Amino acid sequence: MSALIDQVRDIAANATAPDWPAWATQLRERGAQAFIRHGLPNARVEAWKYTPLNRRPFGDVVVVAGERATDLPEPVHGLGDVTRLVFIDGVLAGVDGELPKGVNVTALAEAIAADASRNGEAGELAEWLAEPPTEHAGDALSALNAATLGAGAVITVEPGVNAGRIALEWHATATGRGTGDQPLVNSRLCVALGEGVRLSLHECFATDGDSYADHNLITQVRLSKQAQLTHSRLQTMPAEHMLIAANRVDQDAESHYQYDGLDLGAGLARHDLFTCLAGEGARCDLNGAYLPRGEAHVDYHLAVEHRAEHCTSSQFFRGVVDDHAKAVWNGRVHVLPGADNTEALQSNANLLLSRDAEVDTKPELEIEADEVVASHGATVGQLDETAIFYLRSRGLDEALARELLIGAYCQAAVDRAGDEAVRERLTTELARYTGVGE
Amino acid sequence: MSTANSEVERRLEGRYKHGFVTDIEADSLPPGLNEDVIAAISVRKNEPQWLLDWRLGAYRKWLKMREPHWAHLEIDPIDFQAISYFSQPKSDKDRPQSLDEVDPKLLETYDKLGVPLHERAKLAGVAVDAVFDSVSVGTTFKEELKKAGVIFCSFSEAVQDHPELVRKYLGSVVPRVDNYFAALNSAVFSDGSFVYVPKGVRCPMELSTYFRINAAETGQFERTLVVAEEGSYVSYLEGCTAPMRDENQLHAAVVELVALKDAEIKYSTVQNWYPGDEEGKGGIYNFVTKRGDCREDNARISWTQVETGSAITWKYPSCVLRGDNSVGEFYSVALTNNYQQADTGTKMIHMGRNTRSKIISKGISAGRGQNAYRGLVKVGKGAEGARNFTQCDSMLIGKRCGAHTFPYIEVQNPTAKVEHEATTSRIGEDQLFYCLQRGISEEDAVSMIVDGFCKQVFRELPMEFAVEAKALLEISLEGAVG
Amino acid sequence: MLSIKALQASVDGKSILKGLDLEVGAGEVHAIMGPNGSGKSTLGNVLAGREGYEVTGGSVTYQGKDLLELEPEERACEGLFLAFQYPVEIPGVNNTYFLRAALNAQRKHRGEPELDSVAFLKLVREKLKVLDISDDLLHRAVNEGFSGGEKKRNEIFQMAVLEPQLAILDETDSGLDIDALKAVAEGVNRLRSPDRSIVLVTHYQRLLDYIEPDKVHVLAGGRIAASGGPGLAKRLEEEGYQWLEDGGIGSVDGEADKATATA
Repeated sequence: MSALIDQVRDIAANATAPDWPAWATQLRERGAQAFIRHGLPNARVEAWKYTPLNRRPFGDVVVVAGERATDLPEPVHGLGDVTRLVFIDGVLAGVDGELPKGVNVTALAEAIAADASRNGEAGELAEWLAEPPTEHAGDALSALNAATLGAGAVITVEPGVNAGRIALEWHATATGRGTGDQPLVNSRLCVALGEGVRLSLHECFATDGDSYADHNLITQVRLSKQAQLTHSRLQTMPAEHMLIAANRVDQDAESHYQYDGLDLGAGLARHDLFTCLAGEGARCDLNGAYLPRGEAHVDYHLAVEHRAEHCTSSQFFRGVVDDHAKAVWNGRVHVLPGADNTEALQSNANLLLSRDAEVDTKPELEIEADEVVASHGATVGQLDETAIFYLRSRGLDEALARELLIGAYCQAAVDRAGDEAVRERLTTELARYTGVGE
Repeated sequence: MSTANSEVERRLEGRYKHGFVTDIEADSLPPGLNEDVIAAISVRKNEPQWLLDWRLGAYRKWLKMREPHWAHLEIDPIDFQAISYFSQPKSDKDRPQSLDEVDPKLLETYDKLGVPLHERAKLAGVAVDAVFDSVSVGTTFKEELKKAGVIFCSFSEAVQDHPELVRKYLGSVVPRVDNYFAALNSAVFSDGSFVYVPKGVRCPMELSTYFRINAAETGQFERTLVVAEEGSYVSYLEGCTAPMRDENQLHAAVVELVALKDAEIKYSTVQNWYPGDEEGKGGIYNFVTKRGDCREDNARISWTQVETGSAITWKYPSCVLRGDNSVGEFYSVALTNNYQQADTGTKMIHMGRNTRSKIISKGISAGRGQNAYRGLVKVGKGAEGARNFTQCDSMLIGKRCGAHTFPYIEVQNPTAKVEHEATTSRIGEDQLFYCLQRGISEEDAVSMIVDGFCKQVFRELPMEFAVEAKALLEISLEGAVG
Repeated sequence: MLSIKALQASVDGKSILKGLDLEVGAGEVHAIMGPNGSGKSTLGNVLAGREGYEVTGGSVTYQGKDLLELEPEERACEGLFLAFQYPVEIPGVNNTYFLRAALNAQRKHRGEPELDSVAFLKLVREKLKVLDISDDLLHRAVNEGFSGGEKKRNEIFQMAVLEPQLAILDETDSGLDIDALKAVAEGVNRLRSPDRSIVLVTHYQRLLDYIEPDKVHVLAGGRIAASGGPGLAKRLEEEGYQWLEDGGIGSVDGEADKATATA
């Protein structure tokens, strides 16, 4: 822990990059100061209450080399012929395939340097990067990310473009996996879709081979009027890996953001999904399934802020928790004054399969407006014994019957995925994970 | 829409019906808190040394504790040195032995509240232990209870007459340093009620206490202890009203319930303390620690509360389900109007096998009221076959109020079934119109809809209490003037 | 095929079957009738091996094996099929996937190669056609959102695909309108064959208008109280179950048959 702080101190001291504008250096310094002040959050910090960051020490923070690799690793997205953005140690290593016209992808370091050319004054990007990516300003992991600002990419799509499907892959270079000293990669994505744009972005992680790294990611999304982003994340990291991912989405009128997550791996996976419905008639749907086993810990923190009238939001998550695993789900809907005619739904259902497993769920509603229809439900239970018997009476053995029901339980969340190809991929991975695949 | 709403809001601006001050000189300790004050309280009450030590232990810990801050309460800082920690009516020098000896002004006060003490008590078969400020002034039906072997007396009397019981159970459910306000209460508690139901006895009547806060700047720190021995049953009713006053008054009570094997305790509360005026000035701070311990197998504890008063309410009547097959229940209606804030809910801690719990919470927010449900359902590793069902509904009336739901669910046992449901709704224009079109006045329509919303909880209250609770909701919601 | 001797079983400690004897030969269709609460459904569940149904005495031999020793899935793989009185809804599990998994589990058990999805689909479509069931059934989750009639048809469809040796139909006729009943009966009749036995458990005689049983048994008080030919069912229809309790048990067999023969 103190080693981490020391390292961040070092990073802050060397924050100046020659071609960088002053504001970027300041962002780094501010991030470093905030992290040094707070350190890693412990159980007394409500937002991190259930997340066991102390389970093992953090490894060295990977400092951005800023160079592109020449050879890109093999694709892992499994979506067939799709353009992919390849990140290695958090750095944009290359774009593999054609980008549709109107879609621009720039490495974050380049984008920052380019912003410097505007007389050194802080431009739009500066403001954007300074925004807190979670609901809780001053979040320590976000500060850590800011302290190492530089890796990542800016993705923009010009108005009216149907950008199709793009895969986004996280790879790592460090070798000697399992030595217990994972390097920590920090990276940031900024995604801005112009009016009426449609895009499906599928995020996944390289899981084969010897390479490894923990990831602390921030994704910032801005959707203009009527823009639609379907954002999916398939998390299949090896058990010794850690993923911390904070998403912030700002939505203009009648835009639609959809998140489809599937967590099948990692020792610790934490997703913060913070969505602001700021324009009238905006809609967001957050779906996911998590199936931690072994010693895994999955943590979902959702916050949807209804700031405008006639917005709709849904949260639909299914979890199956086995062995010594633990799942935490904290869903929050906040309807601010004036956000009348809001519709908000929350559902979190869990199966708890083992004596040593644990589920903590907290569906929160905060309503401060009129004409609001909001409801939530959360359950923790077990597999239906009647259904197991029915399957066995048809000849399926008990283990298969259980896996089949577990898969089906989570499939309900996967079925909601907004992109058909992604839905198929998630379905296949889920079936493989539960051992009932083809 | 807007006309309907403003009509609703106009009707909501009801005045506090029970706001008046009884003009009695109070014999109080000067404001301030230190070990001498605590010793003075203890001496005046003729307490044994162990109890003084217990108080001082709590006080010393309290000094090191920090005042909690909850996300949904806006609280002006409380000056604990400006509060007087002991007061009793002057006419109390010679304790009244019966109602006839009670200061007629006090009785008049109860009369104004619509609680004609003796009549009502007799008619309804209720024994009433009325706390006026900090000291009990009247207790009835004692004889009848005595026949059944039930002890029902003021806490001070219990300390004198049944020290062994008090010593055994005091602080056994809510440790004296459980939280900031419980520690404060443990240090300075003034009086309260004590109930002991012996083995196998079904308490022959509902037990009831009316609390009232009077005398300016007097914090009131009740301590209630209910012990139900094996196979016994008791139903305890607690009702509160308070006079109008400009300064915030602190109320930090502690209630402990102990249910042993096969015992059942029903604890019902109607809380109608002064909520402050329409601008949010004044009103009671109600920070209460209530906890029940189903200590042995098949015990059952049920909390029912109707919370319409206080500027700020902070209470989480909880059940520790330790015994196998024990049952915990929580039924709550909380209404906030004007600038009232309520942060209430329950904790159900499942430890024993086949333990069951049920939570029904109904929050109503009107005006600028803020209503939060905060609850915890925890199923421990050993709680085989535990079941919980929670239903937690909010109703909003008007545009400036808020409803908040924070349910924590923690499950560590794979045989547990926990279900939580919640909805938020409002009184819609169409509903009101429908009622009007059928010839029902708006006022009646609102109270009808609210009443329907709360029915599940009212059903759990003893009959006469349910009537009062309904009336209170109506008073809180509609114009009480004329 | 199936030999039940002095079978006793209890549910939640309550004794339901109290010494039941039944012999079902290969290719035979038996109807078991009885008033509510006589233990009809218990019999089906005990034979299929449902948890919570405790066998407290007696024996069940199925194709020479001790049936009670087998796990539920082993019984299924050995060719025992129970059509549930209340078919279970399994949201999210696709009907086709489910059925293929079941069929392949059974084929594997018999040492036959598993069917790939193409071969399986071909088989399934044939069966659907024969049973006149729409193939949109294949795309839906197991029994989820099915009407009562659809669920029962789905059971018969599964039976047709799995081709069991011994099928027990637990009140498959209850809650069906006449068209659905006919469809179910026809499905069952198609499956009649010299090496397949069928046990129909039912409360009403009307199913037997469409499926003629070889033998009819009356289950009452946890035992077979009477056995006979198809005529016994008619008599139950006309007179109810009361006469059984009035002591008319002994000579049922031949007489009832004669009664229908001369009518």
